[in-house]
Amino acid sequence: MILESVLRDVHGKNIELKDMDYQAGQRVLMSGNEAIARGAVEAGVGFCSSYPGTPATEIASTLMKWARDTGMYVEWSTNEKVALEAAAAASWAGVPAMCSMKSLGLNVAADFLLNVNLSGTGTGGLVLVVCDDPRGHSSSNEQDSRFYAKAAKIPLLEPATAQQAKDIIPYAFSLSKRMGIPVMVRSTTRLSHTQAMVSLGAPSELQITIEETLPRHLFNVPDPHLRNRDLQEKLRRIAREFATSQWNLLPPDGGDSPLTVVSSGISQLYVREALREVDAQKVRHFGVVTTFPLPSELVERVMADNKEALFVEEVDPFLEDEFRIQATYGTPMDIVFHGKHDGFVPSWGELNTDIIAQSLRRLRGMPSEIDGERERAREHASSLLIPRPLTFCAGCTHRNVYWALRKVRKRLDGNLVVTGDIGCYSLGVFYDQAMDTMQAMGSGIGTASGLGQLSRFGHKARVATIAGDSTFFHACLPGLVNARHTNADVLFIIVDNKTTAMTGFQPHPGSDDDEGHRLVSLRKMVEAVEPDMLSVVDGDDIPALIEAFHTSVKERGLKVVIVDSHCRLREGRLEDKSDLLQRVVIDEDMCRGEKCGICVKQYSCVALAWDSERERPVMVEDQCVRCGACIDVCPYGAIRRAR
Amino acid sequence: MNAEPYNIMITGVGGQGNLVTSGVLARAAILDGFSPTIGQTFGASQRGGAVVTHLRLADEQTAPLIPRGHLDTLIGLEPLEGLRAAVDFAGPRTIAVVSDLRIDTLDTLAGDIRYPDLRDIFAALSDLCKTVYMAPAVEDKIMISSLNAYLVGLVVGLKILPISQDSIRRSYETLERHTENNLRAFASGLEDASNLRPLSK
Repeated sequence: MILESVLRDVHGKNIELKDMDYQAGQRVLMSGNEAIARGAVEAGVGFCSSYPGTPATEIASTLMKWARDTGMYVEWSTNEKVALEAAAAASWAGVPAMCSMKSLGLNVAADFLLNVNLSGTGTGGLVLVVCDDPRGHSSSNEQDSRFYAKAAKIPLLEPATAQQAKDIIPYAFSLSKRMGIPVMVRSTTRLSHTQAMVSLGAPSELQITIEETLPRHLFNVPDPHLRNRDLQEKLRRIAREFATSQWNLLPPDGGDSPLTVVSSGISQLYVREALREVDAQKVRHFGVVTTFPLPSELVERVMADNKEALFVEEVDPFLEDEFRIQATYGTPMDIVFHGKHDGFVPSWGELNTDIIAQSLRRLRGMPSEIDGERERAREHASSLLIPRPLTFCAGCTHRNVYWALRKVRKRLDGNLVVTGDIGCYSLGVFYDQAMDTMQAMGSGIGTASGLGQLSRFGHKARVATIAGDSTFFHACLPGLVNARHTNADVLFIIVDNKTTAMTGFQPHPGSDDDEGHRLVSLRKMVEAVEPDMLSVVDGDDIPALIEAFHTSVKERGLKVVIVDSHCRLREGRLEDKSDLLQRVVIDEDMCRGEKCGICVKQYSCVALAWDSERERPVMVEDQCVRCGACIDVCPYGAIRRAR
Repeated sequence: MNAEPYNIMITGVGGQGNLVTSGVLARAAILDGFSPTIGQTFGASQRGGAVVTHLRLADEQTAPLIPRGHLDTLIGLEPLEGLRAAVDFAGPRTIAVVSDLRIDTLDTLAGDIRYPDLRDIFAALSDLCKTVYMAPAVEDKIMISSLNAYLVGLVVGLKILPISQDSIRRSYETLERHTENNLRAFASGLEDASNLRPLSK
C-alpha cells in the first residue's frame, strides 16, 4: 500500500525542502519510514538503494521524492542483494550510503551481508534499514530479522518512536564510519507505518569526498577466520560504547523493585501504556534500543538486585536469549526470566498494550478484567460479522489468467499443478485455489523446474508457474535458466503489467520511464534462453489466454506465455480511458439468471453483482472499467457491449 | 504519557478516504496543541479490504493501537466495518457515529452470504457503545464521495471531539484535493448534527 502522506507542517503545506535550513526545530507529523528518510537527509546520506516491499517501501520512495532538492542518488534496484551491494560500493568510495528493505529482502541480501561484514565498509559508512512485519500483514512470514545482525556480527539498533527513528540514523552512520562495518537499524510495521510528531534537526549539506582508491583488502581470503576474529573485537568495543549509550531507556536507580520489564523497539510504547493501565507498583522498565551486541556492563548494572525480568519484544526471544546467555557468565544474575520461553508473552504474532497488560496481571497474580455482560454483547455482535475477503480489482487481468487456468485444468481432468510467486497475483491462492504454492520471490519457477523433472518417476500432472514482471527481474532469471538448461517440462506464465503494482507502482527494469533509465526488454530476456514455445497474449482476451495456456502446457519442454497485463489501479491514476469504451451490459433476455450464475459466482469480478430479489446478475456501473473480459465468460452471450 | 490519550477510530473500506480523514483530524489536533499518533492498518486497503485507523491524542507519541475498551469516538464510514471495530475496541465511554451506507463484500455481491440486517448491526452497536448515532442517509454523488467529511461534520456538530471546529475547518482548507466538496460535506454534517438524536437503547 502506498503511503500517500507527504511531509506536512502543521498547516498542511508541503515542506519546501529547498528551505531546509529553516526547518531545524520544526515539529512535523511523520510516519516512522518518513522519519528514517529524514534522518538520512540529516546524516548527509548521498546514496540510497532499495527494492520495494511493505512495510519498508516509503523510506526510499520518500527520499526519491526529495532527491532533486537533496542531491541524493536514490535507486530502486533489481533486488535487495543488488541494492546492498551497490550501497556498500558507494560506502567504499566515500559516499554515505543507506540501503532499506523489508524483512524477506534481507534473506536475498544475506549472502553479501555475511561477507561485507568481514571485508568492511568504507569511509562513507553503510546503514542497512530492515523493516520486519510481525503478524505478516503484508508478508508471507513473520521472520525476526534481528538474527541476521547476530549471524553477521554487526551492531543492531531498534528505535522505539518516530522521533528516535529519525535521530538514530546519523548515529548509525557515525558508528559505521568509526568501526568500518555495516550498522543495521530494525523497524517493524507499527513503527514504520505509525505517524507521530517529530522535531526536525538540520539537514546536512552533501559533503562527499570521493576516495579515488578503494579501501585495501576488500576480500576475506585467504584468512576469513582472522577477519572473523577482528570483527569480534569490534563487537566488544561496540558493546562498551552501547553501555553508555543515550538511546536506551533506563529505569531510575535503586529503590525496592523486584520486577524489571525489558522491552525492545516499539514494544517500549506497549509496555509504558500497559504499566499505566495495570498500575503495577514497583515495576521498572528497561527499554533497550542498542539490542546487539548486548551492552553487558549496562545490563549487569540495571539488573543488579532484581529478582524477576519480563521480556517484551517482537517476534522471537532475541533479547531474552541474549540476557539469558549473559546470566550464565560474568557476575552471576539471580533472576527468574519470564517471556516467550515460559509463555508469559506470546511467541508469535504482533504484540499490543492489551497483551502486555495481561502478561503483567498474570505475573502479579491479578485477576483479568472481564465484564460478563460486555462479553455477551461482543459474542452476539461477532455472530453478525461476515468476512470481507480481498480480491482482484474490477477488470484486473490477473483474474482472467486464473479463470483461464481453471478452464485448462478442467480440460486436463485436473492434472495441472500451478506454482506461484509473490505479487498481487498471489491472491490466486484464494481464487478457487488456482495457485497451489507460494513461498519466496522467484520460487515459482524454481519449484516448477523441479516438478518439471518428475515425469521420469511417474508424475502425471502438467506443470505451470506464474510470476509478475518485477518479480521476474528480481529473482526468476536463475530459475528460468535452470529450467531451460535442464529441459524441465514447464509452462512459465509471466503476467507483465509493467510496474511493481503490489507496493504502489514503483518502476523496475522492464517499465517505461522518462528519467533516463534504460528499459530492459523482458521479452528479449526470455527469447535469449530460447524457450521451445513463446507467445504474447492480451490479458483482456480470455479465449486467447485459454488457448495459449492449453496448447503450450500440453507440449514437452520450456514454454513461456507473456500476458500483456493491465493494472486498473494504475490506469485509473494515470488517465481513466474507460469513457472511450462502450459500456458493458447484461442482456436480460439472454441471461439464464439463477440457472447459471457463472459470471457472478465463479468469475467474480467486483463489477458484477447478484440481485437476490430478481435472481439476476447486474453490472455495477461505477466499478466497471469496461474491459469487456466478462463478455467471453458468459456461455449464453448475455454480456455484450452496449450498442 | 501521564494522562490517558483521547482515542478516535475511523473504520471503513479501502477508497472511502479513511487515511485522508485521519490526517485532517490529526493536523487539526496539532493546531489545538496535541501530539497525535496515527496507527494504520495497511496492505490491503486498495484491494477491497477493511481499513482501520487509530488516532490517539496525547502529549507525546503513544502506542499505535488503542487498547480494547478504551475507544472514545468511533467514526464508522461503513456499518459492517463500524461494528467490527466496536466488537474489538468499544467500551463504556465509546460514542459511535456510523453511516448506514453499506458496501458489499465479495460474498454478498455474489449472493452467497447475506449482508447483515442494518437494524441488527445498529442494535448490536448500541449494546457495545455508550451512545450510537446513525448518520442520516446521504444521496447525492458528491456527498457519498465526501462521506468521511460529512461524518466528521456530524461528530464535530455533536461536540464529541476535544478538537475545535475551527481547527478542523482550517485543516480541511489545506487539503490539496477535493477541498470544496470536503468543506461542503463538513458544513452539511455540522448542520445536520443539530437534529440528530442518539439511538435509543
